[in-house]
Amino acid sequence: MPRLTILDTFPSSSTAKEQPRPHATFTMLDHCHEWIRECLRSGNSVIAPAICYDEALRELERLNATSQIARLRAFCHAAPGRYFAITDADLERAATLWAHPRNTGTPTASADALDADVILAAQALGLGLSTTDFIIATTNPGHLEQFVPYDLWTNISP
Amino acid sequence: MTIIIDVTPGEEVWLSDQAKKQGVQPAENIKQLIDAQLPGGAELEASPPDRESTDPTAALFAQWAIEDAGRTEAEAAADDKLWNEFEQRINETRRASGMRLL
Repeated sequence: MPRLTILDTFPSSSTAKEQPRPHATFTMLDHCHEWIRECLRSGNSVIAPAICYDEALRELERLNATSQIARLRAFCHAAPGRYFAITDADLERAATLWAHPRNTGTPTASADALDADVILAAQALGLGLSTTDFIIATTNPGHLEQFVPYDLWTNISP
Repeated sequence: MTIIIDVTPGEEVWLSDQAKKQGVQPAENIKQLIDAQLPGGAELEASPPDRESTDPTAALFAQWAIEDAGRTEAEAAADDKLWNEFEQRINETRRASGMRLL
């Protein structure tokens, strides 16, 4: 079964970056954009969770980055199911994930710090897949490691 | 793909003559010249469609490649600058709420 790669905010955003000019030095975003293309060429699916899409979109809106916004939207909606909307069940699961470390006396972060990560983790878990069949591609695992399979995108073979 | 090319008056006369001889329009005559030079010629017409024609994401990337190829150095630099600012702003917001940074 092909692996499903869930794109955290940095990889999701990279899809909206224009390609560098010939002979230009690649930025990390450029490398990440190319890695996503390789994943797709290899037949692996990538999905953009709503929580990461929203974080990227709101900063692009703040920068009035209209063409980049258009590219982000186009990529996320180019394939059915690639944009991964948040459901009520995801929010309920996120609440459980947020509360569990506190109820067991093992909080590892401030309340605000976990908000987005638990929603991302809840969305991923809501797929109902075996933990060997999906992975969150990120630039910084942070608190995600408590909840879901993850790795730096640079460690994930396309 | 549609291509628009400029031809000299001399080339125009030659093309018109060739087209008349073959009973086709000048554009069709040019297409035949391309087919005659293309490795595989008309066989390519029968080959399976490429990814860009069947995969919407591949088509999107192909379209963007065309758009990006026409950018100036200044436009490319402005795009890099925007993305730097984008990363800084996301990290500022995340730092303020104690979230992990990008």
